[in-house]
Amino acid sequence: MSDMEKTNLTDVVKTEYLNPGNAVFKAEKGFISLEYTADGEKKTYSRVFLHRCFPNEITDGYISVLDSENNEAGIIKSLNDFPEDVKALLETELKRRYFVFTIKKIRSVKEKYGYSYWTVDEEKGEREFTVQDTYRSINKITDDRIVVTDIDGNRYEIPSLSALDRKSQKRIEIFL
Amino acid sequence: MKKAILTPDRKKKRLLSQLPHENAEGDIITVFTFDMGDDGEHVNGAVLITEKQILVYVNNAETALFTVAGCEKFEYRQLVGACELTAKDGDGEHIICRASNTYHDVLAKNARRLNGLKETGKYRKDEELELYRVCPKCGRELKGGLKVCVKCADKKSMFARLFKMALPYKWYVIASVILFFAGFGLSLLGPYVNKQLIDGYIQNEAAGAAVSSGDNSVLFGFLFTVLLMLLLYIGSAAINSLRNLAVMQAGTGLIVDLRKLVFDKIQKMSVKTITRRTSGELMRRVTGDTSMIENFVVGQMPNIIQQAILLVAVSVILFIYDPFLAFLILVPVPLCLGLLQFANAYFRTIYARQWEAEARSGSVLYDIFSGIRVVKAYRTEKKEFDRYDKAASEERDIAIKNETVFNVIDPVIMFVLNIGSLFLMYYTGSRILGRTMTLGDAAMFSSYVALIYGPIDWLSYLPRLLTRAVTSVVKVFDIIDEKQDIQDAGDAKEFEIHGDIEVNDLTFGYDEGTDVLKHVNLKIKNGDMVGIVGRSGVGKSTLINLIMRMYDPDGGSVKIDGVDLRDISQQCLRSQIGVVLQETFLFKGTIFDNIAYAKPGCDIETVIAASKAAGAHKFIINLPDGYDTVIGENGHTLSGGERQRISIARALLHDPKILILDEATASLDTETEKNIQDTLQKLTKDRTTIAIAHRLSTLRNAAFLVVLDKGTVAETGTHDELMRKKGIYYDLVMAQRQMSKIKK
Repeated sequence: MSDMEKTNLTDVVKTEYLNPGNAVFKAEKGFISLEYTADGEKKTYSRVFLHRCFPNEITDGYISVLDSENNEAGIIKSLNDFPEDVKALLETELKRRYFVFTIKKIRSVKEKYGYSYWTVDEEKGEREFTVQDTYRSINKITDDRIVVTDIDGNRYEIPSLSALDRKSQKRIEIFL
Repeated sequence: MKKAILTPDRKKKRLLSQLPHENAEGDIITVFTFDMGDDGEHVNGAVLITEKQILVYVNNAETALFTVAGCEKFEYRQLVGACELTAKDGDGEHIICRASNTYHDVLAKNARRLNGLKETGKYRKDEELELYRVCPKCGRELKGGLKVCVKCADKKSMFARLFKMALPYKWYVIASVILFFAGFGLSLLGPYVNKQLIDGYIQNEAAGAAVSSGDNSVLFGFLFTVLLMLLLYIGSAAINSLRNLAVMQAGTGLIVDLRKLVFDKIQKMSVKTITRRTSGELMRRVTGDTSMIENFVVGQMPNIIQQAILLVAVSVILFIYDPFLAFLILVPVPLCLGLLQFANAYFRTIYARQWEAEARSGSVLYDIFSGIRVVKAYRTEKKEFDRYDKAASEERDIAIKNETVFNVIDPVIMFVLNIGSLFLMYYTGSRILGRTMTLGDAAMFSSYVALIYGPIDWLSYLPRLLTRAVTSVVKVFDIIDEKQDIQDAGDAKEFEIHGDIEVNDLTFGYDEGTDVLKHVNLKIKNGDMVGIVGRSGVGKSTLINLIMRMYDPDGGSVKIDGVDLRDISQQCLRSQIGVVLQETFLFKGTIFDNIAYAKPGCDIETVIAASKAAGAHKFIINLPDGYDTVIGENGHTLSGGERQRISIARALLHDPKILILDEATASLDTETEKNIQDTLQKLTKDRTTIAIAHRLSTLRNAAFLVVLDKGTVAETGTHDELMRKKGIYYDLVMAQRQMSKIKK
């Protein structure tokens, strides 16, 4: 096969990438709307949903923008491509979808009959939650960053284990 | 401090008193809180729902008002870390509230309730308890998302029930108790006889003189005491083994009963309940947890009682004999117990970690072996080796660390205990030298000390054993107590099914709030062959799951011959429905056994006829072992198409009144499929057949077709009618024609 005939996967499968030049995001009734122009054709979406392609690894890029029928309008390669006000708007929407509590301190973890009962300090203050099947509910994203999922499906992130105080570290250590 | 119990009513009242709702129209249905604002930050929000309005409050101030009449539809949406409740009207979608996942069931249930209110003008007032997240038993607020209040999970009754289950084995239990006390008496007697031996003969100068002067009676006395010692040993050994036997009988019997109970219960559970748990978890409940209980009841419980009584009895004897000495002996005991308690807390966690590490490296292995063909195809052996190596090294490191810790702590404990013996030795030694104590007394004391230190060392493990046993007991009863969500009604009917199926306004979702099927209506006459088509994920398989009553509908009903499925006994229903799924399941056994699975004892001719009808006969007789070929795990490997044909044969042999084919011929080539189809058509004349297929040619014999789209019936009709309609079905057919053209 010569180089001429060689086709790239990305040439065959077209993905629309959104940037400030072709996409206008607006806040509307507590949601986000999109006006997207491609090949001179303008499409309007009254409500779009933002799904991160890599929720753990890349939080500010590769964001799939879907309409209410779950069809992809396009992908945002990087939030930083957009001006600050649009970026803030998109970030709020992402925050609402990927809502996560950030653990500042672990006050106590008690294990009993297959459940563990946690008392932690998050940004808004003290919070209690229950975790079922503790070992499997703790997702080690890196050696230092973990996410705990509670019985309701709420997520609690520890952005950096090593940044926690010594006592908190000890309390969670046994589950890692 | 006694906390006021927050009942649903009180919680509701308190909420209402805070919210200004004088202007709200209509009766109040419910009020609930939520916790997220439009900017994704925490707020104190509340929603008040009346028969006419939906009022939204943030910090007790009204922020939005919707009228039920003005909205078209309410929607609950599960996001990743949060959820939302929205209302749709002519103007599009509006947010009612957002919340963290803690409120997911509250929002989902209210979405459903609002839609019901909208459509029927009625609303359900039940499930109030769950909505307010209070314990159904004591009314305390459920913290941290628990479904049952921790305080109400009655642990005492667990053991009481375990005890009740032991009743059939009461004679063994009584025997073991009697034998236990007999053995106990003997073990206390030992040191005393020993003392007699030493003081009466060995250390007795008069006795020594008598023997050397030829006094045989003393020698006989000596021999008799030795013999008594021997008898004591034999006796206690015999009694102990008898006791163990009795305990074993009772314990193993009890465990087998328990295991049967758990297994039976799991089999009776609905698919919904079962799929919520992994098969590994269920296996662990049936085998692991019951073994843990067995181990505890048979192995540990007798020991616990024995050691505890021994400890008390020996302490009492020692105190009576010589209080000061007893005091010396018992000095290191509290220290030891404290040390052990500390060590235990540590051991518990490090062993749990070891267990997890072992499980991890085990699952890495399982993963690699089950995907060995992919590993070989992509030549990634080295990568997989490294992955296993990493998991195994981790396991090794943890194990080494644990063993090191254990080997450091254990000698320390032994040392502390030995300090006690040192005291004893010094004290008894000086008293023997001072002639205030005999050597026999000293020996007896040493024996009793050994008897006391044994249980102390052992009792230290008790908390850990107890925790593990209790955990298992709770888990096992958790399964046994699970509410059966699909149950036969008290007056469940049994009758011969004719085959008319009627689906009325059927609504169902696997998860709260996301309906897979919405208001499906369908009528299938006896003897019809109906094809269900539609894109992936529109709810085709869900619909037949509901017809088979693998799940109960959330709304509407499925009727067979005019009788609601919930009023037909499950045995009656399933014995007359045959099903072939795309994912075939063959049990370990011969091909014959697999085909005859639903009809054991069936004659050979029928089995051959069934496999011929399913197009399986030809390949079966070409196997070296024919119908005797062992298939299933570790057995002969069949191709996907071969497996499907065996499943079809199984279903045909079952001779069902209703036959369900869910992509049953998807793995077959079109030629074979056509042959089977033709046979099926002859066979299915007087039975109702429901077939799902993506390959539309599969359904060419269907009397009519049902096209599902987004969980509702989009089109129905014959092939020709639907083609003329040029709707979804037409598009599907055209797309497939296009495909086959490309292939050609």
